[in-house]
Amino acid sequence: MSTPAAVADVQIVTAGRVKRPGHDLLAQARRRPLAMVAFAVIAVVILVAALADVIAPHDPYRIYFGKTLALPGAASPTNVPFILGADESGRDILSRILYGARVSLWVGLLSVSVGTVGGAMIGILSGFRGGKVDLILQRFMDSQQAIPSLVLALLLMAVLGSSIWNVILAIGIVQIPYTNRVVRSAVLSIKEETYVDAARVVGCTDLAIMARHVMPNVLAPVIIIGTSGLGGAILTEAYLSFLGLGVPPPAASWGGMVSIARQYMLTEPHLMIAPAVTLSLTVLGWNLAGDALRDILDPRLRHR
Amino acid sequence: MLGYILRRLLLTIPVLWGVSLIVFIAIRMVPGDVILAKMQGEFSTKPEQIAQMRHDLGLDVPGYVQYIRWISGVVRGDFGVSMNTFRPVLSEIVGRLSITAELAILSLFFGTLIAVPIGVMSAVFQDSWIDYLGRLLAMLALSVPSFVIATSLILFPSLWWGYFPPLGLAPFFERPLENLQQVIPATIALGAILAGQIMRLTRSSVLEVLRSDFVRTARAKGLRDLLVVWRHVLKAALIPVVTLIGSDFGRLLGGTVIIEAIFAFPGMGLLTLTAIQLRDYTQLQGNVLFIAAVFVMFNLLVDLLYGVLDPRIRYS
Repeated sequence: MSTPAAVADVQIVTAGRVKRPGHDLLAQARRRPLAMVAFAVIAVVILVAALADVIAPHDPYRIYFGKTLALPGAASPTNVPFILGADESGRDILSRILYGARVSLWVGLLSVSVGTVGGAMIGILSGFRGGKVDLILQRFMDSQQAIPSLVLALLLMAVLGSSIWNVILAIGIVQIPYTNRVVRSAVLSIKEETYVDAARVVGCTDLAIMARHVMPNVLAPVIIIGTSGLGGAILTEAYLSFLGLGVPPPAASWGGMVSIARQYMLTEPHLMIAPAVTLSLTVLGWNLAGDALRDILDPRLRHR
Repeated sequence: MLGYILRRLLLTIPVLWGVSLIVFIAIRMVPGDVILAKMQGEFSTKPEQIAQMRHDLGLDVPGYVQYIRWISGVVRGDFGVSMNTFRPVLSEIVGRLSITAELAILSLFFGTLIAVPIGVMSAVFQDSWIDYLGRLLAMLALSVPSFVIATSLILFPSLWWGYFPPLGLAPFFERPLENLQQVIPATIALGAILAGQIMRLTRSSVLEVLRSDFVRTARAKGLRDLLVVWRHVLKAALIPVVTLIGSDFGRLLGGTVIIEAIFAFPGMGLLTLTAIQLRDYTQLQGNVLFIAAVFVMFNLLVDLLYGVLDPRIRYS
């Protein structure tokens, strides 16, 4: 934004829109009941993830022998009972759910970062350079999208081996084409702007223009895609865990908990219900938040 | 029109070639190969036997030779032989298609039937409690993992009424009633996700059409609101919905790994999953290429359908 043309541009944009974006966001959210529910759910998940050591009544990995499949409310060897019962190995279900918030948040945030940063980089390069680079990168993206995302994620997990970092990488890679497509089409119109020409005239290199003038302008769509993709990323982790290729045990992953609990579902349904509800509510929260954010940040959709 | 179709068909070639490369390279990077996966637990196998099997399966030559052998077979319609069952890859796929197609058709039918009316109502009564309920329902359908829905559909009937669907998938054309009992819970679980997507698209599409000039004209000449929706809005608003359903169908024909794994339905999804687990190179390559080809073809069909449904679009 160092050139006069760029400054003028920014001023026009700010004059046409609301002056204080942060204030606007809150005011908009207040008028949307679903958005408020979403932000509340997310706030709780983040709080729980941060405070898991403090609020968890038990060690999530500690096995209490003789307490396997204990019912909710059953007495435990410590002075706090098993509030949600104990699992098939005799571990406290509530504590595992609280610690599971960390895995869920970690996998969600990091894999979306991999997906959006990777997608944005490919999208910017492809859209800005055009020509052969664009052609090759986009055909590759098309090829990746023609493979169902869960099949690709499973294949990547088989290649990389089971660990939380590989889960993050696999889910992130699968998400790259979606960000790429949106960013590329945004870049195609941005590169025709006067401030890009101006930057080129004063002698900026392509790399500098991409980093300093194009990237800031695709940030809004990237944030929207990222937030909307978070719920999907957490779901994909759950699906991978369900098929035995997710975050490896003994880590407490909600998807993994549901998957193991299925074996006991007819006799011990309490093993499955709590993690399944937590997982579903969290994904719901992120999905609603992504929707709300898109309504608020995307002026074209504002009055729908 | 014909020129357009031909050009689009030509464009699918590099995409499918890319798919073939991705899957070929990826599966060979997985530690262990098909022989080791099959020999697990058999300690008596001699090295010479393993070498012989490698040779029989064509795995003793460099990777690029394997790729050229495979891809030159594929372009002639020969996908090779499964390294697990030693049956032709294509006949394995054809054998799995019937249950996958049944799931796809039924769940799309179910999903559309629920989603379109709710989506329309949600748009017509925008920002009322009906709208909020509809949107929440759509979001729920997209947020609850399908294995949770599927498991609940087995769990609760059995807890409350002691009801279990019969075991072992019955062929639809021999014992249709038994088959439907087994397939319907899976259809609901799968249909819910589709319903969520269709509901959201229907809502936003109807909202957009409601704001267009011809709707204002219809209102201005005194048509009642519901009649306007029925006669003028739906026809225009459902075009994108039809295309979504078309491309969903193309994707579903590739199988649904999770649902087929839960209900143990021997469809395409389960075939793909076992191929990954067993490192069945040829079967996985064939499956993924087949799934991608079906997906690409259905997207082409959807684009052509768009032109038929929307007279403003012309292909040149």
